[in-house]
Amino acid sequence: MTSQHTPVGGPIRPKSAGWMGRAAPYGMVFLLIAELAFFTVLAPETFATRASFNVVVSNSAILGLIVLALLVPLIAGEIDASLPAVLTVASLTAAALMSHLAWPLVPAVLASMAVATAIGLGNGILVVRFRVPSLITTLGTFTILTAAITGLAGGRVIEAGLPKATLKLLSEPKPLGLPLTLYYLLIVAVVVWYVTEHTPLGRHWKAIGSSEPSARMAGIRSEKAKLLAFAAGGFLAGIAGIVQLFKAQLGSPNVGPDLLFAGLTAAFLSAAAFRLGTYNVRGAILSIALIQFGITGLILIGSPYWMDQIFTGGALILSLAIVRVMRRSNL
Amino acid sequence: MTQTQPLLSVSNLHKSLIGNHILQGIDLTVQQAEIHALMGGNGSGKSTLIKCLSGYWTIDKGTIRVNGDPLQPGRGQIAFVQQDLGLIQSLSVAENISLGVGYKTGPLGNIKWREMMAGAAELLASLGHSGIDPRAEIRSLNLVQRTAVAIARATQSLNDGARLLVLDEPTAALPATEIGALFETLERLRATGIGMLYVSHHLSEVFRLCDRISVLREGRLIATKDTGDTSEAAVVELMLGKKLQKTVKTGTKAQNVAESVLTMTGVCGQRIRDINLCIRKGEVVGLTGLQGSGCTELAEIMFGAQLCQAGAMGLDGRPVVFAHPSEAVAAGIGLVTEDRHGNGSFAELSLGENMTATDLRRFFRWGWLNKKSETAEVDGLVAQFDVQPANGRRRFSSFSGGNQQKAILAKWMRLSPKLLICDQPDIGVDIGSKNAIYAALREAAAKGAAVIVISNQHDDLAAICDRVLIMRSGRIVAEVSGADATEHQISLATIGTQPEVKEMTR
Repeated sequence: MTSQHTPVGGPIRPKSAGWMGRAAPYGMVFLLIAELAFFTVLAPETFATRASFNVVVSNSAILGLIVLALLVPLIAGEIDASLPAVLTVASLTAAALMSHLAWPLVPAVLASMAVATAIGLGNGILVVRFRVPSLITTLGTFTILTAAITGLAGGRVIEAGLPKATLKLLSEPKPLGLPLTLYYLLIVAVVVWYVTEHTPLGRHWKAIGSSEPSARMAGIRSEKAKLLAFAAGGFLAGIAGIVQLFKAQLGSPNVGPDLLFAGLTAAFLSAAAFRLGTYNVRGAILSIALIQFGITGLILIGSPYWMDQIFTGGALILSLAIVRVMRRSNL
Repeated sequence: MTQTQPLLSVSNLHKSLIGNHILQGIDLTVQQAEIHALMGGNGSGKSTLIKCLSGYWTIDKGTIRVNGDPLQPGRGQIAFVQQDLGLIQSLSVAENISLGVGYKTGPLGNIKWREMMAGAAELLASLGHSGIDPRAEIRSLNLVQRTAVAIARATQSLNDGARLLVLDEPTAALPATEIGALFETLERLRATGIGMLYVSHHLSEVFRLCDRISVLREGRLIATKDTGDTSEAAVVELMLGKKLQKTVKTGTKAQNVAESVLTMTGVCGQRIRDINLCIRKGEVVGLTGLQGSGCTELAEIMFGAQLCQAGAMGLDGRPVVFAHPSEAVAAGIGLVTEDRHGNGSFAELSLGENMTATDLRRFFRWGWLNKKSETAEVDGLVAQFDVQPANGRRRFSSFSGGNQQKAILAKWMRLSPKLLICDQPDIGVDIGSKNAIYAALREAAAKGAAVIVISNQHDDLAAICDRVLIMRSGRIVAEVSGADATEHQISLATIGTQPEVKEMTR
């Protein structure tokens, strides 16, 4: 006798992976091309020039580094919103050590990196050991750090006694006509890409981000891996702070905190490209390009100054919606 | 209205669902001041009957009358206490009690807190729980108190004059020592004339508390007996019927001489007590019990996922202590968890990434995760375990339940564990996949692994296990093995009250 109804768990029809399905991971590449074409047509004299390209690229390096920093905890399922403030702390610490205590460059840089890593790790301990939701915890540390920055620097830049010539040499050369800061970004991006996609630790982060209880039951030390993710986030924010110091040749209390929203936007948007539904490095780089060229283009075609914030905010909301939809798809 | 009019009278009730005739002519009455037990095995139609009473299902044929009036769902004729109690943890006792009936408000729309608190306190006192502070949050209460609050809320939701309460396994989550306190509450309610339909699997409770017992089997009401006129053994016979004893043994018999893999002596956890067992190489051991009997906790203690509070565990004859599942995995133990979605899989990762998550370091060579060898191994497993569609790169969540479960099994089998524990491996799995999974487990045992299968499907356990351990209230109370490990014997031991099965059946 044959069964009347089909078995519940029978082979499911593979969802039609038509050209749309196959093209979806690269949708954002097409979007970037369309954006570039759009502004080139509207502002051919200003947008499509080497000068404006270099402005975008050198503005993007710091943002790019902070996005990479935000990306690592995000992959592990946590958010560290304090990282943009950690950037400022690192930058000011190095500047202050050189300016007030006359430390040489290298020890000052290393010490400020250690401070940044320690702050990241501290956030991790708060989240992992005390099980406080990471968004709330790190918004708290963000606020505290921002206040501390104001208190310590008194709202002034730290400039006196810095080795200006060395700092210049570390930021202003343009190998192959591209700003040196872009190379810093690319080197860090390659390292983060390698760790997140080609090491067991990166895969563990991804697994924890998908389901921490499942990771634990698969024998993964999720607490340890998460602490490492937070420490790595702090470390990368520290690098961003140092590059900022090289670039500005002074310690500024103003740069970091403003990057919070743009940074989170690009980090979230990364899940809408290449590896759909998972935060990834290549997607993050593409998202930064999309946002930065968009903002520059808007300015160059004469939009009002508040337009770029509408653009960033809109991109953030859109990126979250896209990720939601993509996570439901099959591949 | 006469005193003898039943509170609930169900007559000739029929209900079909998706072409299956689930309820076939149920006749049931509940009198005033009566606690009426409703018993039956899985699939006997208990839940469907309850859902007909609550109005979740409309009935096909027959009548349901409450106090002589036709049933009108949502009118407060019947109050329900759900199995999980349905309380909101972060609200206070009084707020929970008032949730169902709404809050009394003053002229400005303000809640009359004082009145509400006083009402809740009075209600709880009438149930013998004056110790519960109506301001306390639910999560600060113990389980008995929570049950009392749920009962208080249920009685509150009754209309004036309505006096019928349905309780669905209210003791499922309670430790055995605290059931007495719940029964006192129910007896107080009975003394006020309220009638109760009490759904339970536990014979001893039913005989202690209830006035009459109705037994459902395969959609029919087999019998209604006065508790005083029957015995536990007789009720068990009614529940099980004259089923054919299945004795399809597929595997080898366990050799008692084989070396032990896992031993436990006097192990205690949060709810489990004094577990002593020895699992040997090459055997498939079943573990079963009613809900809340502690099977899952026992499995998680073996796997280092829950704390072993007392006692000792040995693996291969050496004492072991697992503080984290990673230590158990390293020692050669695998656990297919009961809650596949909650703690057994990564929905957003690929099927292959799910399979290799347990020991990625094996693929990590020269500082690089070797994806070629990872993919090769995944492809091999997909073919070996017949996962459909045969594509390890697809998102895990896109596979059907049966194929997901095969993949999870493959994830542990590829590590060739010494001990593989499968907690309800058949949940959400179609019959074909289920058979494939059980065949794979037998094969693993044949190759020398020790396998523990936790399941409520006694026929499956009878078919694949060499022996079956039965748990009740956190203890192992019986063991059936060899020719005795039949579905009938396992079911008897699970619902029976005698600690030793052999005495019961002679």
